[in-house]
Amino acid sequence: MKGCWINKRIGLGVVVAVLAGISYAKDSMPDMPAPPPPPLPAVTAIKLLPERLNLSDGRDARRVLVMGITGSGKPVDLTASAQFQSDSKAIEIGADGYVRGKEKATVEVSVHAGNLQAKLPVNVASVEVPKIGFVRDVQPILARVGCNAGTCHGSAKGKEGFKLSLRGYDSEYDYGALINDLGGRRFNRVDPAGSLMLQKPTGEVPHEGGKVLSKDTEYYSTIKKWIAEGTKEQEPEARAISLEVLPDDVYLDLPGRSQQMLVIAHYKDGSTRDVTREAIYSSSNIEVVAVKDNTATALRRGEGAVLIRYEGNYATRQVICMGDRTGYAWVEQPKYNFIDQHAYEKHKMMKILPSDLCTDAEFIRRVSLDLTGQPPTAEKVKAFLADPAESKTKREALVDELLASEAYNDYWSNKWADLLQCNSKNLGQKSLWTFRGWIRSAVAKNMPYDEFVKTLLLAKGSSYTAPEVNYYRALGESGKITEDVSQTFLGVRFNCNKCHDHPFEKWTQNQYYQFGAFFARIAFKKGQGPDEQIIYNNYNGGEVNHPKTAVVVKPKVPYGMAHETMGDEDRRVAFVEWLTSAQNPYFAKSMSNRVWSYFFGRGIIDPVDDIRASNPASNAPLLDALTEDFVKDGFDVRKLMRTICTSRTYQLSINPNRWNEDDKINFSHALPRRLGAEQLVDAVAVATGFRANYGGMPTGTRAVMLPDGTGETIDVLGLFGKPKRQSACECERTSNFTLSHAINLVNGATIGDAVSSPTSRIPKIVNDNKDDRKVIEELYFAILNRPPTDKELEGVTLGEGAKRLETAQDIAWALLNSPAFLYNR
Amino acid sequence: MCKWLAMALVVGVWPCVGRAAEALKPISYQKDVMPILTASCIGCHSPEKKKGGLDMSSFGAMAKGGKEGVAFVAGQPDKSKIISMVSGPEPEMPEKGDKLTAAQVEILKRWVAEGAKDDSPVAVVKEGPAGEPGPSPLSQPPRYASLPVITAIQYSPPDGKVIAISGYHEVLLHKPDGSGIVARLVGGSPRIESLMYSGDGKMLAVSGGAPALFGNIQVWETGENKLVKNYKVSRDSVFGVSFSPDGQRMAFGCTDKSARVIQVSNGQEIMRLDQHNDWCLGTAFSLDGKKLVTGSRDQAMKLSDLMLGQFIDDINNPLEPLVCMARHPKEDKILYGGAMGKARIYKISDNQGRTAARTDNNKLREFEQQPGPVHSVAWSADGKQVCLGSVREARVYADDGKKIATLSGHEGAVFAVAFSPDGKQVCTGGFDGMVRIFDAQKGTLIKAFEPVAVEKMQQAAK
Repeated sequence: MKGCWINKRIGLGVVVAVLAGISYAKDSMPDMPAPPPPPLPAVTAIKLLPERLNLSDGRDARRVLVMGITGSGKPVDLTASAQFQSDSKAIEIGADGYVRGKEKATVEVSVHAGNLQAKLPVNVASVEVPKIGFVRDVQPILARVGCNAGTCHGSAKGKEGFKLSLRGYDSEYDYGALINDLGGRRFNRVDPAGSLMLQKPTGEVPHEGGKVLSKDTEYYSTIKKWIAEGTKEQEPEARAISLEVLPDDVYLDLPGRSQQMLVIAHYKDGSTRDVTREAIYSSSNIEVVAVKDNTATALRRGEGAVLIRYEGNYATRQVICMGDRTGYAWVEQPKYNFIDQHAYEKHKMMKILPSDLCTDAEFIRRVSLDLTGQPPTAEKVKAFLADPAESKTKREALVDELLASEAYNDYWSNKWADLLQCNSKNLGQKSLWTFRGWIRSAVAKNMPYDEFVKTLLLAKGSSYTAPEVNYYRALGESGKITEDVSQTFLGVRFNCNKCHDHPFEKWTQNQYYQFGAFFARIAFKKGQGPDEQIIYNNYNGGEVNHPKTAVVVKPKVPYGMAHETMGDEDRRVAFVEWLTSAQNPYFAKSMSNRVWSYFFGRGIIDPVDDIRASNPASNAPLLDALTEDFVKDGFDVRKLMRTICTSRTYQLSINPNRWNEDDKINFSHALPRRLGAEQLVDAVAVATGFRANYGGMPTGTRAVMLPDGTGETIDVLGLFGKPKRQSACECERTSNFTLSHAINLVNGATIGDAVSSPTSRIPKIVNDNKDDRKVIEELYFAILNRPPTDKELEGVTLGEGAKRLETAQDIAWALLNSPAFLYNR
Repeated sequence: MCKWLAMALVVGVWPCVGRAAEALKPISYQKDVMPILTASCIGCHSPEKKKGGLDMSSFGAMAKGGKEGVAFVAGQPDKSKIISMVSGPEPEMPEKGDKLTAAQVEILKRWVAEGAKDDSPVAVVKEGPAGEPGPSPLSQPPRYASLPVITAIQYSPPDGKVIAISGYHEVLLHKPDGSGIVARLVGGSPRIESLMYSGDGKMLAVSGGAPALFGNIQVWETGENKLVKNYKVSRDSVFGVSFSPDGQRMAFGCTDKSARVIQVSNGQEIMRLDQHNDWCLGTAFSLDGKKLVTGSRDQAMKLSDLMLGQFIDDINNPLEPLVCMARHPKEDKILYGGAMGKARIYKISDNQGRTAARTDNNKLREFEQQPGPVHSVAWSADGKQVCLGSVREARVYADDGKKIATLSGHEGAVFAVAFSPDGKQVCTGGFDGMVRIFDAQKGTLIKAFEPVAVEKMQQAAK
């Protein structure tokens, strides 16, 4: 065995290095400072955004963006260097480009950029100075200055005895805190400048948050004026209701290029206001786009989004940084179905060229792992490669065969058992089995997805005889139901808004409890069996109370409409009807996206269960088409998977080319994905013919057939990321690769036992084949699902006698430890 | 206007004549350095927080240095931490808020270079048993461009000859029928937080201060309306002042979470109670003067033994942050108003009998939910009625919890309520700055008036 150990040590070094390379390359992106702005391209025309200004009162200040149009029709921001000129006394143009009205009039401003010129009509509708309003004028300043940030007075307990609602979502509360708290300590009508709420941020009195406001700013005078005018309250309806952001999307040709944005708030009464300076901007991808105030700057080639928020309203603008693509030309690609069409459109837009098709051997391994959770046997691989049918045809036939297999049912019922939190801690042993059985039968008969969800959410009865009730048992109270149902079936996270309005999204705290109210009447009682529970709808009542007001909250869906619950009708009926409707914009979409991610290692929206405006789809038309197809086919999950697997996009090689090597989000080449815990263990079993036994389960049981989640003690499945099943989050299953994984594979039983077991197929391969090259070929087929290359066969000899088996085992061990085995490529 | 103009001129001219002027005039700690420290340093480096062990609130404290050693070396800016921490392209300090400007750093540097001289005014009274003298009263009575918020109202005992009403920098004594001002008690504190007459009516205690700067206790002799005691206490405005039954001691609550008891005669602090977890807003002595109840935003009312100087127990179960409290005029009972809109009466007694089930043993009564936080509470002189001030209205209840009258017509919060000594009238005040006198039984408005004369003034003339 000595030789074997040396061999293994070398193996260890190689494996660790290779694996480490894969996992670190992904996140070792250094922080890049913004490159210097490149010279402006030649511009043939200029365009103003918006084309005219209307100043509605004496405090209204607005500005425009000056956009240049290049010869190729692409926009470039010239605002910073543009000149604005007007002789009129009716307006005043500040150094910051803001135009203010001085007299009622309609005038024209001339705008110069380089040698191009444009006219900007400005209408001053009124110069009356309106009173300062708390909601419309003061609160946005508190947010902009940072008073109500989560680290300051917006934190759950406030700071130093002063608390505001997080980012100002609750105007009434904030008004009370500033005006009514402690006998009006924070304002002083008699001497407005002596108000604590001005002395603190300006540093006139000690302030732990430091000096955050200068006395010479407009913000300071606005607050001071509001106090002098009497600190009147303003209806919460005075808040902005929507945001308009200019331009529509941000195109930056080269790293270093910038684009300014303008943000216009719209109000219920039809008025608008330029809130560019008060809005808060953040980048969804700080490696590609840097955002400072209202300016987005490209750092390197790539895509990102800017999230803009203002007073509980949210907008996003997609940002594309093209970078230098000199020499790029699109090459027409074959299309297998509509997926390819949409993928190619995006590739063309980003000047990407997709990789070539993967080989048949790569395909059979990839699609077998994806559809059934296990690799093909050596025999299946050989038969598939030998099949003379056209590659596209035989690949489609293989997809159909796998979709119809029992292995498919086992694999996908395991996946759903994760999402539905099927674990013995929640359910007890008997219900665990009945629930897993129910899930498997639903998968096996390909129950339409909408019907599947309906059945789960309308479940009632005994956990023994109506196993679907176990989903509610796993979740328990209405809060967890709200959070998990929204995350699992809508892909939307509702946990932030339990305690306050969502800080980055439109979801409000009220919606959280309105959602929960649909489930408030689910009641549990003990049945006769040891872990039997009976779930029923309590017609006598059961309500959700709002934590702030203790008032009973009526059920209401967060968007769209659900029918009103009449009399003693189960509230869930209305909810489920709304949830599973084909019109629900999140239901089918989140499922299509989720399923997609299982085949590409990445959702079109990613993470798949965190759909929000600030997490845009990398290819929205593709996701829309996929969703439409899914709905059209009656929520047929197998059909959806078939469509995905038979697309050419799914079948692309893992090897990138010059034009797609930096792409990770547009599906222009396959991404290597580490095998999941059960996949890995099952793959070792298929490859070596040696299967570890699981406590209490019959011999030959696949890891994906185990009914339970990972227990408290971490076994090999837990180590490789099988979840405990206590969360609705996809992230509960992990697929990272760390040193502990490498050590387990190199030195542990997972591979070691399989390789050295006399019952593995290695001794048989060695005995059956007198030719060393043949032995190696069989090992390659069994483990890597492909024949060895000539180079891999070169000069290999196994030795004589007992040494022959030992060498074969060492080779098998090395192959099992190689990325080609451990990853789905 | 003049002031603004002058300031604009100074700012505008600075860059041109700056250098010449600087060479002539040495940097003053008091005038030049202190404002910078106040704006950017003392928020954290205060005596209370003392981050990094460093207190920069006075020259003496700063000279002591912090955990990282001395803060400055006179004459050697290069060896002074207060310079190095704030200079450079990425200065370490201030941790929060804006960085110091180059000009500000230059001032600090020059001050150290010139020997780091302390020119802050020498305290008149040395540290010792007696209290620190309070701020000097304004030389001129304040003028008003708009109504100040009313935070406290008290009728003078025993007969209610005047109503004391909080103003800005002053307390206004009004005739009980609202027909005019009797006297203006002008002090040195912009904010008045609470008022309390001694039992015999001979003294009026005023607590207040300037938020985030200092607290102040004033005692006015009511015969001549003279300020007889004036103490500076705490580093922030102080709340909920009360007299001991013998009028020898006073108690009040502070934002540093402490409740303090001082000697009226010389301001000496007799006791400091540190059991609360949040700002202390109310105090009340027991009838025998041997115990003190303190109430706080931490939801607790705590009972302390003044003879032994030790904390006894909480009176109540913590249900909601306390906003205000008042002791029954004749019995050891306490009424408090909470931030969630409930008011409750408790027996002033320890809560020994409480169990894990959190029974609220001392609770005698809980009043119905009010329309907002209970901002003010008061007992009638016979203890048979209470008044709760909330938002837009105040309500009068019998001590059995029955509602007698609703006093409406207020705009915003009602921060102060008081019964006339005969219990027939209630005087209210609050956010809107108006004083209203109601019939306590019928709830009808008898009179509403502005407690101060509002003049049409230019904002800048302040």
